[in-house]
Amino acid sequence: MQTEIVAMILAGGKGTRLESLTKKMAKSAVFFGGKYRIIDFTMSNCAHSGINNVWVLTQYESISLNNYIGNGSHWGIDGNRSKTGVLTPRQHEDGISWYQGTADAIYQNLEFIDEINPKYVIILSGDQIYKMNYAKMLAFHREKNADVTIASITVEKKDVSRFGILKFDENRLITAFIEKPTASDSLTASMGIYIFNYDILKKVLISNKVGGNNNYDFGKNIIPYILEQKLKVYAFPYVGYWRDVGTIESLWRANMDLIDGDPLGLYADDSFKILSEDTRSLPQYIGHHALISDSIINQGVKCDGKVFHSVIFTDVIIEEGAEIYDSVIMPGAIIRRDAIIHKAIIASGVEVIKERKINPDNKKIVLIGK
Amino acid sequence: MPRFLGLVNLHDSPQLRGITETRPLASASFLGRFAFVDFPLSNFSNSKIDTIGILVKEKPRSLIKHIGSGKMWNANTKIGSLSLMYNEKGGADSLYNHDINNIIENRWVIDQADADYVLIAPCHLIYRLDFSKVIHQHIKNKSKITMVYKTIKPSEKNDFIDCDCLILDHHKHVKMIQKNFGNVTNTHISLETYVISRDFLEELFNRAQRASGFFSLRDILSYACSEIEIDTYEYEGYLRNFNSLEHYFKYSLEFLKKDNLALLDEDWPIFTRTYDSPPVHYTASAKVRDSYIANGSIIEGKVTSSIISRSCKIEKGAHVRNCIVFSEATIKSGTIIENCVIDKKATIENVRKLEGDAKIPLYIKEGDKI
Repeated sequence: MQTEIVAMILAGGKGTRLESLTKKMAKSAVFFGGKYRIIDFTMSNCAHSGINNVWVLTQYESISLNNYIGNGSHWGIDGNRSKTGVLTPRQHEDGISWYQGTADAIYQNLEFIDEINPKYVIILSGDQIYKMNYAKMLAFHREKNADVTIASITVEKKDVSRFGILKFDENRLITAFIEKPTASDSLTASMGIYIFNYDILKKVLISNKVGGNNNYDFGKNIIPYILEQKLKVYAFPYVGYWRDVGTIESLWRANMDLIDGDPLGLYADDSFKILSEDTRSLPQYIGHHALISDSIINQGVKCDGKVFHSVIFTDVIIEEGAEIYDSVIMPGAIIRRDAIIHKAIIASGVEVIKERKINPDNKKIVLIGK
Repeated sequence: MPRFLGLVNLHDSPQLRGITETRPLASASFLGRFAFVDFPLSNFSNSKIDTIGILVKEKPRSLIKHIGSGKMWNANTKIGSLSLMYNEKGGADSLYNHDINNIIENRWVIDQADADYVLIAPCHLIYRLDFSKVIHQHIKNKSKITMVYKTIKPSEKNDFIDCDCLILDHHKHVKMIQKNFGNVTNTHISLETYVISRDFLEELFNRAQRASGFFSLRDILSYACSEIEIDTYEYEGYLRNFNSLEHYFKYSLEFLKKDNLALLDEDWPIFTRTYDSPPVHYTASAKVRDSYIANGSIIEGKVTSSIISRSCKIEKGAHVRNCIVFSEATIKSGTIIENCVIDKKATIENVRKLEGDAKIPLYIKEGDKI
């Protein structure tokens, strides 16, 4: 039987603007929401959408991410009908070739996809935080008899310059794609999530391939090209929480969003859990001097201090007298006695020494790296 | 390299009133995150014993769910194995449903493991034991059987009612085994934990069957200890006997005192089944101290000196004090509960106050609405 759909997850990026958080870690592996890594969201989406052939394209600091992906068992994509793996750049007859852009990463793996020979390929980013049932998008793609379907979301007017903006007709057939316009009537943005009929994807990637060391991207090269070629490209409407956290500020903000509501339905929807690694943590212990409100705290935490409006990850230790406000404390960090932290991201494994004051004037978000 | 088979013996598990009505003690909740069976299994796993059997006496449903593939204990990889052993023939007849008949009935587990030594551990006596030390002594002394015991303080005698007390000779061999009714003079309490050489196991079973068809392992050891040489190993660590609801309550809440964690630390992980629940969410009105809180829970109210298991909801205005709350229970707004054990999926709604005795907790059944 022909494989229906293969997911190719682009997770090679560094995420330069996440500063030291991505010094030794790919952006997709960055911690989020008290217990997750960012890529857990896309992987869980695949698992819940019945996509069971999942390939993660890694490049920057790939070892830890490759280890984390493993055989897909964290997300249950390792059963007898499923397969998960990583695809890193590799050496060929004529030397090593790094992935030069998102389209190039897929292009370099065409022979591999040929072996699977799927009907459809869904191209995803490993850097986004959202819950989406891709099966609905695939049903839409089929129903429209599309060549390509792009997932889209409505954005605010002030934000259009950050996105690729789509224009489409009443059937949602895309008529124009404008990359990062200064202003736009259309507020529908591309999410960078595409379903291609595989034969079309292959043809397009080969015929449009730019030579040399130029970046070869879906947003920059492929999408404009397929519209120019008058292929049937449709915009699938997604409604819900969706973030691409590119900066320290936006990573902090997205963590705070989880406290201020349940935008991802983590507590409301048990049938679409975000799956993640099992840690061998002890149960969460809240001590005698602790005071906690408006916060998210994961297992393994020992807390004897005060925590307000913060996200505390796995195995963090917070000693008596420590105070944490509006902050994100990543796995294994230790906050010693009487330290006071305002509006900060404390990276994994950092020890904040006794009585240290972090960001006392409480303005811009600060990152304390290792 | 000698080969080992670890057996978890559930035949001597006590009944803890309502808690063990629908499940064996083995799969009952421990500190909101673990199940009792995790402790012997993790002792085996941390002692590098990957071939394991569980001697199931009754009510296997929730145990089977908890064990799953057994992968968590490294036991069902291609190297290890985990077998649930149940006495089909004798299972229905309580007099014949004992550990010896179970092992004989499932003899193939020992044959398949081709074990040179069989290790047996209970799951109501909770301790942290490195079996490799016992095995080392057993092999060095060329023992047939080694029994593990702990010397308790005379004042602790009443905590170990019904346990076996060992009377030792000057070689530290067992001279006599007495059942502790609170009146024994010596204080060597058996952990009901044995390392037995395989040939001797056969001999012991033959001896038991010749003496009485009703004889369990404990019976034959008491009966024959003067005729066989029983070696001993002294254990000196955390040991509790979870043989009643009162003890369950007392020993669980004991962990809320910070210094009482001789059982739990990172060097000796307790492996368990996980549920991918989101981190604990504390709202602005939450007030928690001296407690263990498990993931998936939403805390809006007050929790003091309690253990809250996975995915519970403590509503605003509720106060939980000195309680153990099992998973998916709800304590509604305006209720106060004190000294209670609330079983899984129960809802406490239309009462102002539920109060048990500090020593004898009030027990609320699984799924009940009060």
